[in-house]
This record gives sequence, C-alpha cells and structure tokens, in this order.
Amino acid sequence: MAANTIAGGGEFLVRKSVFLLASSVGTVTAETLISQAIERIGCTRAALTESDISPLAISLKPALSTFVGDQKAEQLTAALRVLVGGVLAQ
Amino acid sequence: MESIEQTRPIDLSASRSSSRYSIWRWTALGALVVIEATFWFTAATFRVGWGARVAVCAALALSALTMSLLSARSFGRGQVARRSWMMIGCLGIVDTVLFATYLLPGLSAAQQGPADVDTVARSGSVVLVGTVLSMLSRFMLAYVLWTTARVYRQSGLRFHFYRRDYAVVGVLLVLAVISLVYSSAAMRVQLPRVVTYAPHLMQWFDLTELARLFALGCCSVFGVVVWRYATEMGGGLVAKAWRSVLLYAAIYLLRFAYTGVLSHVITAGPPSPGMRSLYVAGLWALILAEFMLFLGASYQYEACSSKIEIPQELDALASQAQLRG
Repeated sequence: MAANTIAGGGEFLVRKSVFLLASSVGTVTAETLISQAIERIGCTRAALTESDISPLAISLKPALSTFVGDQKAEQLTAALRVLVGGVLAQ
Repeated sequence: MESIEQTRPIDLSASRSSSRYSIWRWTALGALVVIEATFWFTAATFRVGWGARVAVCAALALSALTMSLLSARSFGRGQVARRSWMMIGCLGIVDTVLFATYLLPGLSAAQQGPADVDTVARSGSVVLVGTVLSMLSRFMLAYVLWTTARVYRQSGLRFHFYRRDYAVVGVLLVLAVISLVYSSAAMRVQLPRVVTYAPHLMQWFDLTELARLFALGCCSVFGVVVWRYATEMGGGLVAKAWRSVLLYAAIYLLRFAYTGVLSHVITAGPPSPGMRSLYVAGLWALILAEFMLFLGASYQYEACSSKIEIPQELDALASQAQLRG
C-alpha cells in the first residue's frame, strides 16, 4: 500500500500493529508479542510485508489470548489482518 | 487449519466505545459517595449503618464476581487467567460474608443486658469460620499473583525490580506485622462479648491471624512483582485490571493495620467522639478496597469483551511513532 511504501516497510507495519493492540494489552506487551510472533514465522521486523500479516496474526493469537481471552484475541487478530495486512473481510 | 486469505467480519465502526464501561464505574462510585454521605449526616444505629455497608459491599462483590466469571469464561480451559479470575471473583464475596457475620445476634456491644453464652459462642464461631475463609482467600490471592507473575515472565515481558519496589514490599510487610500485633486489640473492640463469654475462641482467632500474616506477606511480594509487570506493559486495560486488584489487596491490608492500631488506642484510653469518625474511616477503607476489586474485574471484563478500539488515523500515528523512533 502507499502508506507502507512511504513510511518505510516492515517497521511501519509493526508500529501499526502495536497501535491496534495497545488499548487492550499495552504498547510494550504488544510490541513484545509481535516481535516474538515475527521470529516464529521466520521473518524480521524490517523485512515484514503485508503478506506476512496473516501468518503473523495466526502466530500471535495464542499469546494474545493469554491476556484478553480467546474471543478478543480472535477479534484483534482479525482486525490486524484487515487493517494492517489489507486482507478483505468475508 | 485457519485460512490466511480471508478473515471473519469485524465491526470496524467500533472505536473509542469504552463509555458504557466507564459510566458503570462512575455510577458505582457515585452511589458509594451518596450512601456514605447520607450515613455521615444522619444518626443511624450500629446495625443499620453496618447493614447498609454490608449491602454496599455485597453489591460490589456480586458485580465483581459476575464480571470475573464472565472474563474467566473468555479464557480457554487450562489457561492460568481463567483460574485466576474465577478466584479473584470469590475474594469480594468472602470479604462481604466476613463483614456480615458481625451482625449476628449476641455480638453487638450496643445490645442491652446480659447475653446468652451459647448464642455468643455460636455467633463467635461463625465469625471465626468467616475469618478462616478470609485467611484462605489471601492464600488464594497469593497463588493467583504468583501464577500471573510466572505467566508474564514466560510471555517475554521485561522485568526490572527497582529499589522503590523493595521499599514498597518492606512497607507492606510492616503493615502486615502491625495488623498482626494489634489484631487481638481489634478483636477485643469488635467482638467484646466473645472475649467475655467465649474466650477459648480467641486463641483460634490468633492462630488464624498468624496464618493470615504469612499469606499477606506472600501477597505483598508477589503483588509488587505483578505491579511491576503491569507497569512494564505500557498501559492497556489488562494492566489497569491488575493494578486495581493490587490496590484492593494493599488497601485491605492498610485497613487491617489501621483498625488494629485504632482499636489499641481505644482500649488503652478513654473513648472520645473523634474515635467514631476515625473508626468509620476504617469502614470506608474496606468499601474502597471492594470498589477497587470491582474496578479490576470491570477492566478485565472490558479487555475481554469490549469491541476493538481502532485508533483514528492509524497510519498517521504509526508513521509518527516510526519517525520518533
């Protein structure tokens, strides 16, 4: 997307994801969980692209559910895919 | 296997819709202030005043229990948070039950004439059971805090224990010791008829208080650890929930120490009108503690069940954050 290109790739996507999760789990927790999820999918923050957001969301969901429960974790990861990954909602 | 191409529809219109939860929190606080102000300016008997406060605590505890159980249901079976919030929900109920036992017949010093020894002993035994339950609930809270700290450590959150954290642990432990030292004075003031008619119960009260001291000590240490984790989380509803629960525990402990010292002063010297106000302040501390528990449960319930708060201008915020970084 345009915003992604202008702002400089993966780091921008990480920031966007952190903002999305921050109101529930806090900025530091969000950043920690996202960084771990990025490692788990075998990627790096700088190299992260929109196509990585869906696997990232799947990897992130169990860790998120520890803090906010299964249903909210599902909602948050769905929002992540739509708003950060650009996946269209069904 | 979950599809990575499509996702479930989400309500994107939902944003900054925390008002419903905030309104309930402010309404509860407003109701507390109105009730207490009413009793402050009107002359009510001991039973009426105490009964009204028990009702307030019961309302807060039932609300906290409901929200805690609903939050617990959001977590999968076997998850630590599920067990933790189920246990936290019970804390307020146990406190309220103990609070209510002081209304049992034969215990009030305001009652005229001699008391029936059996009635006093029976009521005293019920208070003792309530005190034991309260002591067990503190062990439960210590367990909850310990498991929560362990889960947060496993999640990879950073943890720094500062000097001020050690100082806070020290202050909380001192409060626990004060509450133990003066607990017998508090019992003498609150249960004078049990001291007179059923003195054999007092040694069980002392033993229970000793066990409670150990539990409160554990709660203090693990509580400060969880508080530190909540601070390191960088805001959010979950951090607010844990901070509120920890404030509940700290205010409850402070109230115990305060009531103990006050009771010691009352038993040591002649009663004065100002003592009544100071004693009522102790009851306010108890209600404030229950309100904090209610707040904690409401924040966790909001974290588990509220609609997603989508920051407006998400792209702009992320860009600014990146530039600052």
